[in-house]
Amino acid sequence: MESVGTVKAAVIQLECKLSRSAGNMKRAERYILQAIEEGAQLVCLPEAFLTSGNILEVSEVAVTIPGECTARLGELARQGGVHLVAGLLEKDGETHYSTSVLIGPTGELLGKYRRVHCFELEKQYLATGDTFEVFETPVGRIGMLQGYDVNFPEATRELYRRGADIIVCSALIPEQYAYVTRQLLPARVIESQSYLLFVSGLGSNTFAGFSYMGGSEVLADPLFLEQEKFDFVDGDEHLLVMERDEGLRTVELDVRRLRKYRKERSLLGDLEPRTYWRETRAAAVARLGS
Amino acid sequence: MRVLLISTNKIRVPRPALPIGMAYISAALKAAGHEVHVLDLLWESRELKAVCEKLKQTPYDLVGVAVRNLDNLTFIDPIFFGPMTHKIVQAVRKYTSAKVVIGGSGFSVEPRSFFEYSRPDYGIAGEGEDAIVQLASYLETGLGNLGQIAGLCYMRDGKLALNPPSGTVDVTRLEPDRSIYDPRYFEETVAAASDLTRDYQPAIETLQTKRGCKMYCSYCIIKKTEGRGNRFKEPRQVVDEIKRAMRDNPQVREFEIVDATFNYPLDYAMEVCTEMIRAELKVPWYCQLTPNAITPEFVDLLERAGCIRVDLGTDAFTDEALEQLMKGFDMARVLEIDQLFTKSKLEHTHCVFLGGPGESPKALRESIDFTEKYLRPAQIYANLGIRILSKTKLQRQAIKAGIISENHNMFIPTFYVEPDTLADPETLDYVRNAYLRHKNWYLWWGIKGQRLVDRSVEVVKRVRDMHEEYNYVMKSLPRLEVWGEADEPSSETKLPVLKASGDFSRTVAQARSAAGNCT
Amino acid sequence: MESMYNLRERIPESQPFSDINGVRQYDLSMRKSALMAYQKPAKRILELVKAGMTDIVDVGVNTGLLSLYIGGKNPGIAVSGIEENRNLLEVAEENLNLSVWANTRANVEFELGKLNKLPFADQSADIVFSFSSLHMWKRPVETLKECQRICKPDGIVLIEDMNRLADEGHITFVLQFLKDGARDFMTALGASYSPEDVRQLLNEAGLPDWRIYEEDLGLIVSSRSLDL
Repeated sequence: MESVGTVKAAVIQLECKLSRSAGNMKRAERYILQAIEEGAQLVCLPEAFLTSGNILEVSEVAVTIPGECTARLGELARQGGVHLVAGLLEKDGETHYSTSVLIGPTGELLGKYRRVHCFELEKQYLATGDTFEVFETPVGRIGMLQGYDVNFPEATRELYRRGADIIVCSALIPEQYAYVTRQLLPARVIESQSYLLFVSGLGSNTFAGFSYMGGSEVLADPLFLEQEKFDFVDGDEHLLVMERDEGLRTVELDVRRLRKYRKERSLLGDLEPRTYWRETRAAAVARLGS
Repeated sequence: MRVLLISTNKIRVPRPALPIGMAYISAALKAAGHEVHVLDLLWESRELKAVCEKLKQTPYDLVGVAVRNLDNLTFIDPIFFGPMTHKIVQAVRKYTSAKVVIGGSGFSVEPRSFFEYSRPDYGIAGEGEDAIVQLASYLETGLGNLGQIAGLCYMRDGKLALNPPSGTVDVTRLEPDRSIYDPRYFEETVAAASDLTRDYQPAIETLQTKRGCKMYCSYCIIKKTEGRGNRFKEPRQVVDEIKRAMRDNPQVREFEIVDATFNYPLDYAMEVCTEMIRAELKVPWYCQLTPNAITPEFVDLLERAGCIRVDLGTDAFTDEALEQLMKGFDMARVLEIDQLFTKSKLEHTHCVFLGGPGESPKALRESIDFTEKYLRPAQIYANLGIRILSKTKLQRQAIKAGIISENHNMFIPTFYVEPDTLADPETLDYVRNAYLRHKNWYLWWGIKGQRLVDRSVEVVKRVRDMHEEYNYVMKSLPRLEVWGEADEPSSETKLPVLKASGDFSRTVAQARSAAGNCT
Repeated sequence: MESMYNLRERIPESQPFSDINGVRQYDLSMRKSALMAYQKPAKRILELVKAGMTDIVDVGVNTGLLSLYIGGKNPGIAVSGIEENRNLLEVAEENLNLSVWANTRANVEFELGKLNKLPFADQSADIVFSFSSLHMWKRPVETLKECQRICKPDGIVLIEDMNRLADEGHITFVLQFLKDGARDFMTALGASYSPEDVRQLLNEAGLPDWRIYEEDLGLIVSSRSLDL
């Protein structure tokens, strides 16, 4: 494998409109082409970008993977020679998942991540995934997450242990959780010593009357950024912060330098896996009521 | 002009040093009518963040970056401060349209490499009090001639112009602007781990009585930073300055004379002490002395003038190293001085380098035995190895000893440790054990945890990384030719080869190369 | 002759549609009592539609009514509307959502964007139209150039708005239908261009060949000659 250097990543903060798949796709395509034009090598879309978070109608709106949508994304990826990460509501027979796909520059589907963590209401509509895989690519080792996963350090820890350089968290999170999500992101990126691309959708859920938070971010460990060239936006952990408008932004990620930093500061040797998860879920849950 | 001065010193041992250099610059700028703001990074845990915030608060016309040291001068735990300075320059560029100037002794020792690496608009090598004012005036009015500002480094016709420093600042008119000191310097604190003679450190003030030095120590660069020869304050002025400083800051209990060598020339030091006695100063103080110029009369004067402790620039405990370092005295003299102070009320500390040029394993071991047997200092403050700086005799010796190559880049931490000594793990153990055995001998805070030979191998990697980092930064920066100079190849930094540390001889070889970080 | 209305000088609106409730009220009044105003422009656009067309762009969607109408009649053609005013866009989205809910097969999309930098490729639209928006364009010359840029060589640009210097009889005619909205109408009219103004904009945009027509209260700008 040739060594990885600097990667130009594009964050597409898309407004994901309910029941408007064609329009969402059209705008997504336009941004992807724009990202390609700007020289991006890794292009990222939010969670459920095509359908928005329409879990109530998931059986009607979800798509198969591979399918028409991933084929079109593959075509675009091939056209621009880029890697592409996008969140889709996935239909697999009678089962549905919130899934992120990773498509390579030849247009082929390199991998997918079915969201592992679903909250109670979602579980009535969605099944949960069962693995955190990291994909070795010429732009670095890519791990995928989705919005709700940021509540679980276990998710980023798994990707960290599997050596992820870039974690793409495609998200679609209700605005009421915007604050806590923004608090969680720095912790997730520091503990995973990676680049974290929080690619967050906008739009409103007309079924339930809330809006999605947008506010996409690209983050890295502040100690790493301090060591690096002076390129963070706030002196802390951010390389990029987006507001509430739809749009595309690109950012340079120096994966080679990050790997060097991670090697120097690795937490792996200090992990004590045998001490974790010794309490059963049942016992922990039982204690909630007492 | 509105000027921001940033002090970048991060060294807290043996105690946080007041940024007196920045205070002199501040005084000079204020006297010329400029508005001065300061940021002292010693008190900031996230330096770059602090710089960013300061720069965003107020627009500045000129930002001065004060660099006290290139690195922490510690072979067994080297920390290189170059990268932080480089990033501060980048921060100033990113957040302001201010011009940026770097100065201080850390810049002055390697102005060319430092400029090339950190790319400020200007650098000032040597004393900066006059130069900074001339530069500010030039920036404000466009009047004046950059070519005539002593010590100024700047881009001229696409090349780097390095004006020679003059070392002629009038010291009788200098007094540091003490209002810029962070109040936290004056909190009584627990003494630093390296200060083995006392538990608490009261608030102190510092001052210089003179500039320049006439000694010839082989490793020293003070002639570059302060100039050769001596320029003195009147003893009366010295005493008045102490009085003023203590009156203006009632928290201050003691003071320190921070001349590199207070007692050279001896006559002047005695005059200053006499003046303190006459003025009934009655404030405890300390200073740094060379064993060269100490007499019973002088010790008596020190005592009566209120001096309570002296740091002796003994530099080595072997005749071999003392000779090579051109100290001008021998071990017999060291013993004599030690006994003189032991008899006095003054506490004395020997500051020494271990493994200096000529200090063979045998000599080093014998010196430890000798020290244990005959010397009775309050404390020994030791360093393994000596930082090699450009254009010193030590650099030539290091080249001769094969520690560094002819064109080695001295900007990055580079140390002289006598190769045979560094290659002798048993002798290093012997040293370590002695320093662990004596509660008042200090070598390094971390020696309890590991053998010096293992530590040296670790250092090889760290220094190698510093070279790599340096090359990484320089990769995107074109080399600068020096204005008015025939082209000479600029010094390149070669990476020391790091082999897997398997057998012992290889480990020793690595430890050995750590001294100069490339062979 | 002395004018009844003081419309000699064009007075741009400082902050049109700056209140979302005002926009909803305006939209409602258009839908309840002024749909007639959309009849002629809609018919003109529909007549331009030909087999094989794929894209229609609406520059300044207003509250979206015309795009929804055109899209509804042509479900096979993508109608993309750009609006610069957040409040107008929000109400247009509300209208679009209702239409989606009602299972219209139309392929209509609205989005926020700058009218002087339309997010479409060169020569990508068969019909570029605009209705009741020109008088609010912040940089009209740039937007005219953008319309030209995105229009296919065999496509057409059709821009309709009010004519500030229209015959006063038409103004009086409209005013008799308007009650609360009369003042806003007059403000908008005062901000509208005259045929002469538009000619100057076209010249500045390097589009001297484009045609200008007057029709009742309206002003029609077209990249090709129309059969009116």
